[in-house]
Amino acid sequence: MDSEPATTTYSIPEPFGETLRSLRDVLTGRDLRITGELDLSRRIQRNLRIGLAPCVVIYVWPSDRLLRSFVVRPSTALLLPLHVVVSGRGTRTEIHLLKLPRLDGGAHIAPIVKLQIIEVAQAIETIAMPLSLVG
Amino acid sequence: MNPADIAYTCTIAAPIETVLRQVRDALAGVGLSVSGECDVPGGLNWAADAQSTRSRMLYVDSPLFFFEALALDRAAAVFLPLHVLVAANGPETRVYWVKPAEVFGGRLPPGAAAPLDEIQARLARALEPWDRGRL
Repeated sequence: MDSEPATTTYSIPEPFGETLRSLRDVLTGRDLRITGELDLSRRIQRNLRIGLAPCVVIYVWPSDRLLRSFVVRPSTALLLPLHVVVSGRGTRTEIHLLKLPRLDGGAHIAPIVKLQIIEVAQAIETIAMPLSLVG
Repeated sequence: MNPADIAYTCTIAAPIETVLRQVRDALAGVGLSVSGECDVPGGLNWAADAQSTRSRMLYVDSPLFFFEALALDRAAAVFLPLHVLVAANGPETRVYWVKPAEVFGGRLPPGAAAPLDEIQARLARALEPWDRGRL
């Protein structure tokens, strides 16, 4: 069993709506492309009639600069829309993002995917701290 | 592990619009749905053997299994919905998908593994009727 978590969680002491707005701003401010959002709590409510705290997935594509810099195979393109998960927890909000494997630094993962994860993580870190540092 | 080693593809001898309809129907047939989709950004430099005049990314899930995956930890949405890439390739259309958790490794959020496996198994079943193989 892998001991290293597959995701990183960030925490921000702001309500959900404000965090969502700030996050969109910092992502697009770095020329990352938001191609869609999925309102998960609404989808679950509509289909299963179960109420959840607010939760949205933002689909983030790399910047044009990054896209132009690499030749991409379909197996890589499949991994490019990165999911940034924004989840309300009362007066604070959590953000979840894929984590690059620490063991080999993701040696087997295409460079454009790694750079995309790093760019998105850097954008998030301008407004939120990793939960592991918040304590 | 190379993403190309664990990505799947099938080729369908039909134009992309027809294939998009067929894929949506096949997904519905196994209890999955498309919760969102977008055209792949035009700036992508496709590899020479994967040139595509038009391609569309489908976000595939099931509200029930999605809820199950999220119940303990919202971080599961980093891996869901799954991505299915439908790409025009000459007179044919290719359909690609990948198991993201296998590419990135790491410990999945609690409760996410079983519903993720179920959605992946259903997706494989939906695309089985077509010629299927490794990339």
